[in-house]
Amino acid sequence: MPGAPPVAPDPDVQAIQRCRAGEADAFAEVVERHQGAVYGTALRLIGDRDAALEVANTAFYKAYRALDSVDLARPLRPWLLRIATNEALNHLRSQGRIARQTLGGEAGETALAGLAAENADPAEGVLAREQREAVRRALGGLPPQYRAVAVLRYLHDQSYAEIAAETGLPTNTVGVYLLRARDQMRKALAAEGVSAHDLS
Amino acid sequence: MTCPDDARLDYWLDDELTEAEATTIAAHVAGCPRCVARRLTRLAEDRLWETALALDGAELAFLARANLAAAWRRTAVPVAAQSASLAQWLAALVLVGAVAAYGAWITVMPVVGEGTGWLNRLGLVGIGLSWLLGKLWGAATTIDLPGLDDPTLFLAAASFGLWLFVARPWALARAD
Repeated sequence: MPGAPPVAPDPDVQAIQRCRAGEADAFAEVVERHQGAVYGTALRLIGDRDAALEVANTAFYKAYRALDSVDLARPLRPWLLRIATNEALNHLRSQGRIARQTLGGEAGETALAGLAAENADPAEGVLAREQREAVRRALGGLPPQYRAVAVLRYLHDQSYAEIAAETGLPTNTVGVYLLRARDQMRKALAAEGVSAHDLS
Repeated sequence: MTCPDDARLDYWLDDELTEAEATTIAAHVAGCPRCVARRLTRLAEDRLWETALALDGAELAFLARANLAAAWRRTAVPVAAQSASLAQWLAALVLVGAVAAYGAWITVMPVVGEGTGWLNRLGLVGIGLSWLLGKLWGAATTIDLPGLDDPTLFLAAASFGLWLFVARPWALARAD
């Protein structure tokens, strides 16, 4: 009798089951698969690559500690991103930088200059690089909650409902925050003379 | 239909409207040059922001050098061992609770048996000292302590025994 094609086992589920069986190394596979997303989230929220790395590490550690309670019927990445987002926001709070922390600040400029100088891709247009940095500065100027919503939307292409689930905000609030985030970013970019149409 | 406001347009472009609402707005936008322009601007913004927020080459290189997965492999502790640590902490907590209860008890009832109140207040130090002196010299001490039939003392002793002989060895064995 022809049956449905076999479903490939989810590698995250397999890794977690191995972790639960005492094979701690298996979690490294999870880290490997999701480190870009987790680190990217932390970096865009914090704006400092070393701090973001620390936050990403902490997020993975906390996730590992909570492996016994994770629901294997659900995808792992949103859960990891929720932990990473909370960690990053906690980091900002603990640094007392919520109100003033921006990528446009001195530290942010230094970090961005370092990133740009390091491994600069000669094929990448100067204009595109400047636009990218302007967008990141504009993002860094947003209040942390708006920033978190924008990062989850634009970095991870998540729906309002997914963002709501990860941030604990009502779905309608996510829409409002995103609207305000776009509006503020638009204004910040306009002040720097950057237009989205430059890319189109 | 009048032009949708920015919020409606955003919801529509983010695919967050019901099918009926989305159909209505799509029909309007198709015939409205102003809304077509707004839509194109929003799509261009989306593309710019998505590109800008993605990790760039330098950031990916930094992450690759940091190699979180390798760092994890070096420091990973099995989940079971962590549970064992939790058991250890719980046992220790019971022990501390029992000791605290015992301390409170001898404070409230300072005179026990034929002993004096201030000596009893020495609490567990007194217990250890009494036991040690008794073992070394087989002599009666001047410290008169509650007997093992006292429930609080029994709880303290039992907790300590549980932690020392059961929880701790089990945790260490699992960690190995």
